[in-house]
Amino acid sequence: MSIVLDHVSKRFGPHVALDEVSLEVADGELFVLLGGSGSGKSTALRIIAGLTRPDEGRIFLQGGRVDHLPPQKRGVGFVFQNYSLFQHMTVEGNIEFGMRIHGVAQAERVRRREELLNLIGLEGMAASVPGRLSGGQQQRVAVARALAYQPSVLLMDEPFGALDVRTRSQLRKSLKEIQRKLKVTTILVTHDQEEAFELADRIGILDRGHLVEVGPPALLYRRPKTELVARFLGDANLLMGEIRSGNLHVGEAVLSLPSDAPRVKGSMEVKVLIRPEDLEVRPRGASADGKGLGLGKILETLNAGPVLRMRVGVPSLRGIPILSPEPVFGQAEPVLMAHAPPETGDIHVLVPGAAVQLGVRSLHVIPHEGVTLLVCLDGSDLSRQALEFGARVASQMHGRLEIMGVAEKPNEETRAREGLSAAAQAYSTQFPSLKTRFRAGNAGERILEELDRGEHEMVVVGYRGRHGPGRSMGSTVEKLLVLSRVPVLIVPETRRALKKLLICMASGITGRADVIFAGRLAARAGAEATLLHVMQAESPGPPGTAASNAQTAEYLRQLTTDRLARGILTLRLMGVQADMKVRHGQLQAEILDEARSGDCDLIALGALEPPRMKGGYRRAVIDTVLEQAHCPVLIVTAPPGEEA
Amino acid sequence: MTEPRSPVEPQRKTITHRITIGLLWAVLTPLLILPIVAIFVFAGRGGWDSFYQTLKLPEAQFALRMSLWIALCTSLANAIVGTFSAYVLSKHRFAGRGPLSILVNLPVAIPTVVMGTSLILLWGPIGLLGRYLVPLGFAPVFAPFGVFLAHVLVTFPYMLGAVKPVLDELEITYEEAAYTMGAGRFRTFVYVILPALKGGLFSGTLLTFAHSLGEFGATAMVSGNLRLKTQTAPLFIFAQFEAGQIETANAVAAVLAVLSFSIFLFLLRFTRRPSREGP
Repeated sequence: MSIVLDHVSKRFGPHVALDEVSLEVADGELFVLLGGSGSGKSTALRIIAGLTRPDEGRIFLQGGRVDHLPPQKRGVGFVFQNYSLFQHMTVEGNIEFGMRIHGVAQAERVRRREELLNLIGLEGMAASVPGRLSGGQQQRVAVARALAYQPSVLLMDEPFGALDVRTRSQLRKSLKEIQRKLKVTTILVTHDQEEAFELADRIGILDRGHLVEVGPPALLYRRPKTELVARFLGDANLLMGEIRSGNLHVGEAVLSLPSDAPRVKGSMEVKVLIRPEDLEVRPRGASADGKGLGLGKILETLNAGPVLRMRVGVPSLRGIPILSPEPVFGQAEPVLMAHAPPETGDIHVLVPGAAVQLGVRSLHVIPHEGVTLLVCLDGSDLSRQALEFGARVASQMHGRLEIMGVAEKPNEETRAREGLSAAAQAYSTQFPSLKTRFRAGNAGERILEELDRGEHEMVVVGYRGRHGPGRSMGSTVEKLLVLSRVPVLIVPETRRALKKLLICMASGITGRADVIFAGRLAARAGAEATLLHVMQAESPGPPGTAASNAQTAEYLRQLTTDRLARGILTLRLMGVQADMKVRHGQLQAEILDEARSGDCDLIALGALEPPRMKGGYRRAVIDTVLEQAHCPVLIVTAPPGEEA
Repeated sequence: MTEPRSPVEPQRKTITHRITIGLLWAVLTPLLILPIVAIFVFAGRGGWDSFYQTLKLPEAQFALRMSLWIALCTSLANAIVGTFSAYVLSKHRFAGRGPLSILVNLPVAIPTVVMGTSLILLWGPIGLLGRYLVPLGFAPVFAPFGVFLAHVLVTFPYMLGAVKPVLDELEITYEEAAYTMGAGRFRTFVYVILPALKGGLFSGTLLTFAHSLGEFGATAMVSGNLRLKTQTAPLFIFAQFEAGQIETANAVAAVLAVLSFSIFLFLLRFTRRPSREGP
C-alpha cells in the first residue's frame, strides 16, 4: 500500500473537517476523493502532504509512518488548484526546482526535465515564463514540476478546477496517460463527478468529513451501499419497498430481486434504487422487456443531447415513500425520472401527456435502517421525558435511537452517566441497534457536533419554555434552533403515542420543508395530520381604501386556500390521512387552542429562516407555543435556498 | 502651439481647452516649478567656482556625507525589519495583529517633530529607558545613532506599504509548493518569496532612501543639530539660511535636489517597467 490513512481526524474550531477517515491506496492506483465543498477532501490531501496537521490518526506513505514529518521530508508531489508556479522562474526553472533542492546532478536534471517536457507535450517551451502560458499549459507544467523529483505519491487538489470544459477533458486524458506510464500512486481531489468517473480506478466519497463509501466507479454507481451515495452520484429514483417471500414489492408492483440482494426470511423494508436509464418507458400496450412498475404519464421532457430526460407521473405509487426525486410541495402524484436513448424510435411518442407503461430493467436494493433519532439526556426529569417520547416515536417509525448523555460541569457528570446507563438498559431490548455515548461539555455544542456526522434525521430535547420551571437546556434549545441542520423535536410534556399531528402553515408564509418533513414523520408513524392555517385579525386600514383592502383580503384568502390544498395534496401523496383547518385570530393562541381541542400529539412549526436568538415575531410565536403547549413541538427550519 | 495631439479627441482645440491648459500652467508654475528653479539660480549666482568652493566646506561635506550614510543605513535596516514585519503581519494570525497593523502606519500620520520628541522622551537622559541606559553609556540621542533611529521610525511605513501588499497577494500555496518539493523555510524564503518581493522591496528601499535624505523634523529634534557631529544636509541648509549664508545653503540644497530627483526618476522608470512586460 502506497498511502494509508488510519483513523485520521481534523477539526477547525467547532467544525469537524475529517472524522476518523481510514483509507488505503494501492501502488500505482489513481484514487479520486469526491465530495462537495466543505466535505473535507482538500483537508485530507493537505494532511497527507503534511501541510495540515491532523488532530488524531496515523498516516503511512510507502509503509513508513509520516505523520510526525514536515512536508519537506514526505516526498510527495502536490499540484495546487491555482498551480502556484513560481512566476519569476522559467518553465525549466520550475520543473528543476525540486531536483535542485534534492541535489540532483545537472546532467540528470536536464535529462529528466526534457523527458517530462516531452511527456506533457511542451517541448521547446522550457525557456518560457509561466505568465505567458495558457491555463492548460500551466497546469501541465505544475504536474511536471510535482513529478520531477520522483515523489512517492502524487496529490492533486482540484487540478482542473480553473480550466474551461474543453481543456479539461483534453487534460484528463493526458493526465491518465502520464499516470499510467509513470505508475505513480495518485490521489486526486474533485467535486466533479464526471471527472471522477473518467479518471478513477477507485473513488472515495467524502461527506462532511466522513468517508462514506469507497469502490470502483461502476460499482459505486450501480450498487451503492448507502442512500447517500445513491443520491450523490448521478440521478436516482429511490423508493421504499419490501422484500417478501423472495420478491420485491413496491406498492402493488412485484419486481424480481437482483442476485446480490439480501436473502431474508419473512419480510424486510428496503430502499429500491432505479437509475433513470434503467426505468423503461414504453407507450401503453407495447411489450416491455423489464418487469412492470405500473402505468404512468409523461409530465415533462428535456432533450439533453445523447439522452431524453423525462419526468413521469405514476399514480399507482401513491403512498409509497419516494426518497428521490424528492417530492415538491403541492405535488399531486408520485414522480419518477427516466432517461431514454433517443434512437429507440419512440422519440415522437414520448412527449408530455403521453400515457406510458413503466418497466424496470435493473434495480439495486439498499438495506433500510430506518430514521435515526438523537436524544439528548442530561439527567434532568425533562430530558428523561424527552427520551421517553423520542423512544416512542422511534419505535412507531421503525427507526433507530441514539442516546447522548451530556454534562457540562464535572459535578453533573455522575448523574448524567447514571441516567445514560439506566436508559441504555431500559431501551436496549426494544432497540437492538441502540447507540449510547457520553460527551462532556456544553450540551448545545456537543449535540451540533454529533449532528454534523450526518447520521441523524431528528434531534429530541426536553425544554419547558424560557419562563417555565426547570429551564435546563434553555441555551441548548437556543443553539439548536439557530444552528441545527435537522428538525428539532422539543418535548415540554410527553404524550402516550403519536396519533395526530398538527402542522401549522401559519402567518401566511409557506413552510414547504415543514409540511414535507412532518408528513414523512406522520407517514412512517402511521399518524394522521391536521393542516392548520391561522388568518390574522386584520387591523382596520385607512378610510377610503376599504375597497382595495377587501380586494387584498380576498386575494390572501384565495392564496391561503390554494396553499392549503397543495399542502393536503402533498400529505396525501405520502399516504397520510390529512384534513385542513382555517382559524381566525391571534397566531399563538389559535395554534395552542387547536392543538388542545384536536387532542394533537405533536405540533409542527416551520421556520423559514433560522429563528433569531432573541426578539423577532416568529421567534415570539415559537417561544409562546413552547411555553404553553401540552404536547411536543417540532421545529423545522427550511434548508438554505428554499424560498417563501 | 506645438502641443502634442491628445489621443482621445485630437480635433478639440477650442478656446475653453486652451484656457484650461493655460490655467494649469499658471497655477503650477509658481507652486512647483519656480521654487525648484530658484534653488539653482541662487546656487549658481556666484558662478561655478563659488558653488564648488561652498561644497568643499568641511561642514557642507560632512552634512552631505552624513545624510547619505544615514539614508543608506536606514534603507538597509528598513529593508530587513520592514520585510520581516510585513511577512509576519501578512502570513501569521496572532492576537493583536489588527491593532499592530494600524500602529505600524502611525509614523506617517503623526508629525515628524512629534515623532522626534517621542524618541527623546524614550532614549533621552530623562527618557523612559534613557534614564537607565544613558548612565551605562548608551546615549543615542544627540548622536548619529539617534538620527538613524529617528529615520528608521519615520520611514518604516513606506517600506511596509511597498512590501506588504505584494505579500498579501502572494498566496500561501507558493510557499507550500516549495515545502512539498523539499525546500525548508529559509530556502523557500530566498528562492520563492524574495524574488516575488523584488519589485516592492526595491521601490520601498528607494522611497525610504529619498525620505531619509530629506527628513527634517524628527532629525532636528533628535540630533541636537550639532555641527560636524549630527548635522544632516537639511539641517545644514536650514542653519546656513538662518545665519544668512543663502548661497551656501542653496549649493547644498541644489545637490540634495538633484540627488532626490535622480532617485525619483529611477523609481519612476523601475515601477513602470513591469506593466510593459505583461502579466
